Parts: sequence; C-alpha cells; structure tokens
Amino acid sequence: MIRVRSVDQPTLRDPAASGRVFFVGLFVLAIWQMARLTEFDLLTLFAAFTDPAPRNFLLGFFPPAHSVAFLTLALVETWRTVAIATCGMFIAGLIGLPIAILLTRVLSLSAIGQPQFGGAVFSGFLRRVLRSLMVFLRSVPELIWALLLVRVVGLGPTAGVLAIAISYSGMLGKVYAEIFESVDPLPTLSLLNQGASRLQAFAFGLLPQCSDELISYSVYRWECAVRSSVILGFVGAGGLGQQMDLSMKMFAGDEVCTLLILFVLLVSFADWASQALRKAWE
Amino acid sequence: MRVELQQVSAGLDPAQAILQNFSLRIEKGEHIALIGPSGAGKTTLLHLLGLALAPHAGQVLHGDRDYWAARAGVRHQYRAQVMIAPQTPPLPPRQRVVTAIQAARLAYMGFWASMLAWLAPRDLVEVRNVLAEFDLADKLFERVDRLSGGERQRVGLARLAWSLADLWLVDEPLAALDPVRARQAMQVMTGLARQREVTLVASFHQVELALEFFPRVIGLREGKVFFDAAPKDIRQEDVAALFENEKGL
Amino acid sequence: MNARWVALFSLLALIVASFLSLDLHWLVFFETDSVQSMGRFVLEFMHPDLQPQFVLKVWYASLETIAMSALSTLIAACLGLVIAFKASGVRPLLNLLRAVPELVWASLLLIAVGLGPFAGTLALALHTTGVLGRLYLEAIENQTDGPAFALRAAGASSAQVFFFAQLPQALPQLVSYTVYRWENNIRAAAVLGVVGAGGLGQMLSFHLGLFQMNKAATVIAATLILVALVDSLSDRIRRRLG
Repeated sequence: MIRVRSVDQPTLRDPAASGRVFFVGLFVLAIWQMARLTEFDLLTLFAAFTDPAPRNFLLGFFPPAHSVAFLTLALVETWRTVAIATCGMFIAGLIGLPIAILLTRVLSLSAIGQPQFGGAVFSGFLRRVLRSLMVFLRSVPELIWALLLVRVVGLGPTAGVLAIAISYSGMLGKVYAEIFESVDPLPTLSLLNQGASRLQAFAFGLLPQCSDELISYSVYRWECAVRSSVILGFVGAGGLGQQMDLSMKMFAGDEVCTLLILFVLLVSFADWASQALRKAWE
Repeated sequence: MRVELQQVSAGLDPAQAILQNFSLRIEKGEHIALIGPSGAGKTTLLHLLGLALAPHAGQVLHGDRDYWAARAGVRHQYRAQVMIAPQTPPLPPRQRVVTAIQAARLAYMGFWASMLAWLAPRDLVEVRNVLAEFDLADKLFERVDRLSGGERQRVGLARLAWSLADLWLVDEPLAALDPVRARQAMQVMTGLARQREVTLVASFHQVELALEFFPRVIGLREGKVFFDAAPKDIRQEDVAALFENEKGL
Repeated sequence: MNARWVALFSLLALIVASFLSLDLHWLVFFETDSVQSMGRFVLEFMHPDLQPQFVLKVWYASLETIAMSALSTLIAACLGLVIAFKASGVRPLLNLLRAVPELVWASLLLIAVGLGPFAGTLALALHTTGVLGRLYLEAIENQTDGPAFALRAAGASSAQVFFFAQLPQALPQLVSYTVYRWENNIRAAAVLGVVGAGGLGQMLSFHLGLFQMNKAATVIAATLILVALVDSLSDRIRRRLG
C-alpha cells in the first residue's frame, strides 16, 4: 500500500508495519498473562540460592553419596527399573502383536476372492474399534495410568509394569501394524491362497520380511520404557525414580546426586545396549 | 583510496593457491573489468580485494595499509568501506526486498538501531528510488523468494547501490539477465559508480559488454594476468587466446 | 548368525530375570475386594463430575497448564537462539539439560521455589532448552553460507549477521521444531503437577488420592482435550510453514 502524502514530500508506508506492531503488542500481553498464570517470579528463583533449605540441599550434592550400603541399594533399584521396563515391554508386545496381526488387512481371510458381505463389514468394524482403542491407550500419558494403577494394585513395581504395558501396547500395536502393511504382500497372499492358516501365513510370509524392523523399533521403545519407568517411580511405581523421590523428600542432596549419576549411566547403557542389539540382529 | 596487491599468493584451498606471486595496482575511482575462463581466479581476486580472504603470502594494501596485519576489530571496521556483491545474490529467501537492501548499511548501524530498522524500516522512498533505477520499484515489499532469478540479481545490484562503500567488488552481475536488462544494469552500475566516485572492480563472462563499458580490462588465466589494458588495445586474438581450451576441456 | 543367537539369548535371559526379580502382584486382579473396588472405580469413571463449580476449577487448571507449556517453550526458544548464536562449547550443558527428564527437574525445582506452576514452568524451560538448543544449533550450522558471508564481508557485526542472514534462513525450520516441542510440553505440563507443579496434574493427583474417581475422570478428559487442541494447532502451524 503506497500512500503519497503530498506531491513534493511523498512518503511510503510499510504494509507490514501495523501488523508487526499489533503482533508485538499481542505477544507482550500474552507473555504477561502467562507469567501471571504460572506464578512466574524471578525473585523467588533468586531467593532459592539464599534460603537455607534449598541452599543446603544443593550444596549437599557434592560429594555424592557413596557409602556401600547406599550404593548397593541404588544399584538394586537401578536393576529394578530395567526389570520394570522389560516386563512392561514384554507384556505390551504380547498385547500389541496380536492386535497388529488382526489389524493387518493382508491377513484378512475376507480379502481373498469375493469378500463375503458379512465378513468384510464385521472385520472392518473390528478394525476400527481396535484402532480407536489403541489411540486411547496411547494418548493417556503413562504417568496417569501409573497414578490410577497405584490406587488399584498399591505401590510398587506392579503398577509400573502395568502402566508401561498398557500405554506401550498402544504404540507397539500401531507401529507393528504399519510395519506389516508396508511389507510386500505377495508371499503372504500366496501362502493364504494355498490354504495356509492366517498364523502360518504370518509366520512364514510376513514376519521374515520385517523381523529386522520389528526388533529395531521394539528395542528403541524399550529404551524409552527404561526412561519412563524412572519417571513412573515418582508416583510410587518402584525403581530408581521412587528412590529419587524419597531422597528428595528427605533433602538428601548427596543421595539425589548419586541417583542422578546412575540414571545418566543407565540411559547411556540402555542406548548402547539397544544399538548393540540392533546391530547384532542385522 | 588506492588498492594494491603485492606478490600475493591466495586461494580457498591452502595447498593449491590459485593466485601466485600476483601483483596489481588499482587507483581510486578506477573502473576495472575482469574477464577470463572459469577457475582463473576472478572470484578469489575479488574476495582478496574485499578483505574476505586472507593471502598466504604477500600483502594486500588499502590506502597503503595492510589490514591483515591490523587487529581484527580494526579490520572489521574497515570492511564497511568495501562491498562484495557475490555471484549468487546473498538474499535470504523469506526476507523482504526492503530489508535485504537495507542490510547493506548494517555496518553503519548499531545493533539495536538495526533491530528497530527491521521492525519499522525507514528511508523507504530512497530505497524505492534505488530499486527504480533497476526497474524494480514495485517489488519493494515483495519477498525475495517470490522474485525471478533475474530480478533477484538486480536486487543484489540495488543493494550494492544502497551501500555506502567506496570500493565495489562485483562477481558476475549479469549472469541471470537477458541482453537488454544486462545492458541496462551495466549502464546503471557504472553510472552510479562514476557519480559517487566509487572504485569498481567487476568480473564478467560477457566480454563485449565489458569491453564497451570499462576503460581498463584485465584478462585472468590460471591465476595470472594474461593482459591488462584499455579495450582499444585489446585484439580479438588476445581474447580468443585467453579463453582457448575453455570449452572442450 | 552367531551374533543373532547371542542377542536373542541375552534378550530372553533379560526378560526372564526381570520377571523373576520383581515381586509382582498378579493375584491382586483376582481378589474379590480389588475386583469390586475396580468395578466401582470404573463405574464412577463413567460419570465425570460436571458441576459448574468444579468445571470452573478444571478450566482454570487447564489455563494454568497451557500457560506453563507455552511460556516454557517460549523461554526455551529464546535461550535456544542465544545458544545458537554463541555456538561454542555449549553442547555438554545442553546434553545435561536434555538427559534429565522434566519430572526430575520439576522435583528438584520444587525444593528451590516451592509448590506450584512456577517450578513446572522452569523445569520444562530447562529441559526444552537442552532439546531446542541442540536443534537450533544444528539447523544454523547446516545452512548455506551465502548471505552470512556477504554481510560479514560488508562489515556487519556477528549479532547483525545472525539476525539478518542466519536467522531468517533457518526460521521455518526453527519454528517447526519449537511448535513440535510445544506438543510434547503440553503433555508434560499436564502431568508434572503430580509431583506438585501445578496445573491439571496437581488436581488429578489430589482427587485420585481421595479416590474421587468422578472428579479425576473430568480432569483426565480435560487433559485429553487440551492435548488434542494443541496437537491440531501445532499441525496447522507446521503445515502453513511447509
């Protein structure tokens, strides 16, 4: 938009200028409101470095707790974290795999030849239901599952294992199904046409083609599960997280430091293990 | 001010200096055209003159001063006096033409002044006038990636015209322009340079235009001066020999 | 071939050892009172509390949660830009910020600044800075040099080169990363509250503690709606960019 003010003193207006000013204003307003809502207060933050309780907690970090008793306890909890993640993933796989098989259209018997009216509609309906179920399982954050389960089965690793199992089964089911769909359907279809059962067609036609991808994804998810299980520990689901929560509540900075170090080591180890496993499988 | 290269060795790759033992003298306000086959060292020479490339050996003197021997801060401050217009117009795709052009004077603005200039660009009429010289007045607020290749190249030249440098180093400014536009751009560029008494060194593939508009033409071949003369003293055979073997390598 | 068997065997060993070493209460599901209470919970869950007073509280908690996620992402984006500009020797710090999960940061910060959404916002900001800082750094490092070189050669300062050449080029990519992190942060903000960092999470933890399943159901529903809203908004923004 070019606006000429007068013949001898023409001026131009930047068409984007008013828009920019408006957005800057809106932005400032939004930040101000958000700071209010979140009780953002830098003074409180600075006070943290001077108040005795948080200050001593922070200073207590060094040296990290290294008594044999504590280290043993910490290592046991670290193992339990891995165990929770592994059990959870295993169960998630047990649930996710069959669901993925059911979802794979290629394996649908009703797809061979003329689809029977009833068969096709029913299996389509079943598929939609299963998909929605898995979306639901995936969308609810694990922590919420864990919170609920702790109320039902009590504190401890059971809640953690189940929380991981439930939410990861949704993820695994979806991705397994996608992997199955992406595979060349020909070997599977020919097996079905020969009269093989669905499971035989799956095991001998589909599975061999994508076992690498399946393993790769599952191991990657296992790594995520290890991290999740630490977090779930904060609501009482056992393992390293639960111990960290306890130590923090006791203001034992040195213990928290050791546990954090162990956590970082654990995550690095899980990363290494998953790389090694995936490489070994190729 | 006068620029001088004294026995300079330079090149992007330290192991293989394109220019070796190279000497050149440019007086204030001179207009020089660089021609020569690809790989002859035209871009290297321009970057050397523009303090964008340090020599491995020899001296680059601007007004009898070697800025590579000076402190980095002093050297960087001097860069405001020199403007390189690269072969590919250095315009961020999503930026608007007005901002891209005004960026030519960043060295003359403090940081916060430049931020303010981005928010609320000033001197809009003057910028548009510069664009008008290159027939781009209506593209003032357009986004760079919505322009054609030729238009972008002309914006690059307009940016050069907007700068306050007194040494212009232009790398292949006509590559994306059709013959009519190319001639136009040449006229405007050399005209403005003469008007502001700017020292101009430009490289070209369009030999005829170079010979027509520049009083001094240097032919570069394999990092050496093949000829350095006024157009009337350059023969067809010299030009042919300069580019010999360029096609069909 | 050998490597595969070793891998398979160690995997199986891991799984078996895991199950054996944890004392899992499978039987809980088959005890009568727990089945009864689970049934009761599920029933209560089906009837979320929709009384206006309570919905208002949930609404306010949702605003708090969204503010936490948005503000922390913005802070992280600004710090990320500073980091991308400075660019040297900052990677170990970024890795540390990223490695520690948001919830752990939140628990630590609670000790420093007390209960409430401030701790949650700071925790998310720290963790996200680690993530975005690294992404921004790489996006800017991977750019083509042209405009930055030209501005530098013309005497512009490093900061000017950053804002007038490097940033405009990388901006679509940076915004895309930032918006994607916001998607993650809204989920994180919703659950950080369980350790006391405000928002919907704190409400959920509170009502679950009192076994008020109907109220918890409302809070969970609000969380899912909020997450879906942010997801779709972020989708639209990213599509407009790409």
